[in-house]
This record gives sequence, structure tokens and C-alpha cells, in this order.
Amino acid sequence: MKFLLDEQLDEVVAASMMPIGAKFEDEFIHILAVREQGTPDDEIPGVCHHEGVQCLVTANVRDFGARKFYYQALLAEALHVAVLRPGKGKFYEEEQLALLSRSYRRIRSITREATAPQLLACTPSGVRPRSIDELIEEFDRGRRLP
Amino acid sequence: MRRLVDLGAGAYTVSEVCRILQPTMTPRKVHYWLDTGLLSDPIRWGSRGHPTLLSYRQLLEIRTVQHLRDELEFSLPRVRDAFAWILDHLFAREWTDLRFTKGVDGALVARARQDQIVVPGGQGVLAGMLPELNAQVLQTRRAWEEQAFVIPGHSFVVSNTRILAGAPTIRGTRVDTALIAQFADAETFDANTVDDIRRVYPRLTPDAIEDALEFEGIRRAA
Repeated sequence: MKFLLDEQLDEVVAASMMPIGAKFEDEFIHILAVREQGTPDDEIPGVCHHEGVQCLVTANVRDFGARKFYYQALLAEALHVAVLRPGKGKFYEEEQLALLSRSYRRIRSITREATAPQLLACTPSGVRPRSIDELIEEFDRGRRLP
Repeated sequence: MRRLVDLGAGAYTVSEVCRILQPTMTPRKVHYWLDTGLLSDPIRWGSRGHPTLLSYRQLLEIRTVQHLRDELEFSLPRVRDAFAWILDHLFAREWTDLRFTKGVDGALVARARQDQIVVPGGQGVLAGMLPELNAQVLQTRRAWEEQAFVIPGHSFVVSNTRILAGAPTIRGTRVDTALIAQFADAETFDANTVDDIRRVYPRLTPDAIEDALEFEGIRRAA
């Protein structure tokens, strides 16, 4: 399995994850290794498909309520999306690496067993998967008349 | 496969809209304008535990009303019909070169290409405000066509619908300003904070980092 790390994350993290992933024949690349800064959202699926990536790894610290519907659009492009959600505090490469490496096995087992793309919220307390159908249901539940 | 939000389209929570349109925008104003039908319908109405989701168009609608109300000091109830008309037509293809002039009896006249129409309820718009009104309309049209705008007062911070669905980011990157703010210990930053952030994002300039921190309400230490 191949993972693409988004520009939100330090390039060092991709390199540091390589030996960990190698045990399972997984690979980690950083988006800046294959594209310039500022790649638009709508080009991300193309980059992933071109690079043979199955899972985008990104980060979020605020407005997850809005962002998860954007992540759902990536899921609709047949990509898994792992979102690192640190707690309070600085999110240096050490913390990024710690959170990703701690979540990695769980991300791996969920995505291997899944029959459809998954959104994986990775927090210090664990990995919470959500499917496209669950996101759609959640979105529809939010509808109400003004 | 159904998509809730298209890739390349913006999606914003109310609090995010207020953050982008700081310092005068408040969630109360946004909800009032939504509930009273001044704005177009959101992507999703909120309910308990589910935030209201707004589109990029609505972000621009709110920005336009905010500007006209706050900067030009229009009284909203007095020109509500005119505002509603402007918001309805601002994004329409046939009104791409929309501009306003003063008609007979102080009427507000909208012109586009060969067409002209008296804007209902526009009598309250004074002739002296027309240059500002036209400048605002032009600015909004440009932001609509580019699907992005630089956040006023922050030359390095943009809301671009094609980057993280419009979340405030550092211009030309996919780096979210909220993530940058995570590196500041408190309400102020200094040169060490900027150096720390550059350790993680070496491609960002110090000016861009400082601008992002200030956008997030973190001030430079005296």
C-alpha cells in the first residue's frame, strides 16, 4: 500500500515512515516530492492515481465539521483519507511522526479489510473510521428547514 | 457516487466564515441573515451536533452585505429589498458587468450590457455611495470568477475554494493557517516562534508565517 503525505505535514515524516512501512511492503511519499506547493484539491486524486497511492494522509486542527465533507469527495475518488488530528500543543515533525506511526497499524488493518474507501480520523486516543455512507447519512441528518 | 461537496468547491462553517471576515462578522449576524432569507440557502442547514455548512457563494454574499452595511453604513432594513436584489444578480452570468447608476427620482439603476433595470427598494442609496457600491460589486465578481480571494489586511492569507475547500491557507500552498497557529504557545509570537515553524515548513517565508499568525489572532510580542 502506498501513502501520500499532504503539504500540511513535514517532508521528514514521509522519509521516517519508510523503514516502518517497509516491513509491510508499504511506501510513504510526500506530495512535495512529486508536485509543487499548492496543488489544488481537484488534482489530488490524479496525483494519487498517477503515483499508485491508495491513502492520502493529511492534518486538521479546526473546522473538521466542514472539512470532512471535502474528505468525502476524495473518498468518492476511491482514496482512503487519514486525517491526523493532534490534541493541543505544537505539531512538530516528532509529534506528526508519533501520531502517524502510532495510528499506522490500525489504518493499515482498517483499509485492508474495508470494501470501500474510509475516512480515518487519527487522534492521540485512537483511529476512528467513517465510510462514505456514514458521512452521507450524517450530512443528510443535518438538514432541516430554516 | 454521490458527493456532498465537489472537489474545488468551498465549504465553510459559520465560525470559519466569521474568522475569514473578522473582525466585525459574528455568528449571530450570519444566522440572522440566513434565517431571514437575505442569503441563499446553505449547503446544509445545521441542527444539534451538525454545523451549518455554507458555500463560497454565501461567503461572498455575507462579505458583500458586511461591506455595504459596515463601510457604507447602509441601514439594512431600509435597503433590504435592494440588497436582496443585488445578491440575487451578483453571481448571474447575464449580469457579469453589473454596475449601478442613479436614475430619476433617486432610483438605483442596475446596468449590464444593453440592459438596465430599476432596483426595487434602491431609493435609499445615495449617489455618493455609487462608486463604492460599484467597486464592491466588481471586487465580488472578481472573487467569484477566481473562486479565491486574499483576506483583507492579510496579503499572504487566502480563501481558495480549490485548496482545502476554502479553509484559510497561506497563499500558494496547502498549509492551513490554523495549523500554523498551533505552534504559538500563547496569544503572542516572537522570532523564535517563526523559526520553529520554519523548521517544519522551510518553504514558507517569515513574512507569510507572521501574517498567518496575525490572521489567527496571535500578536507579535512587544
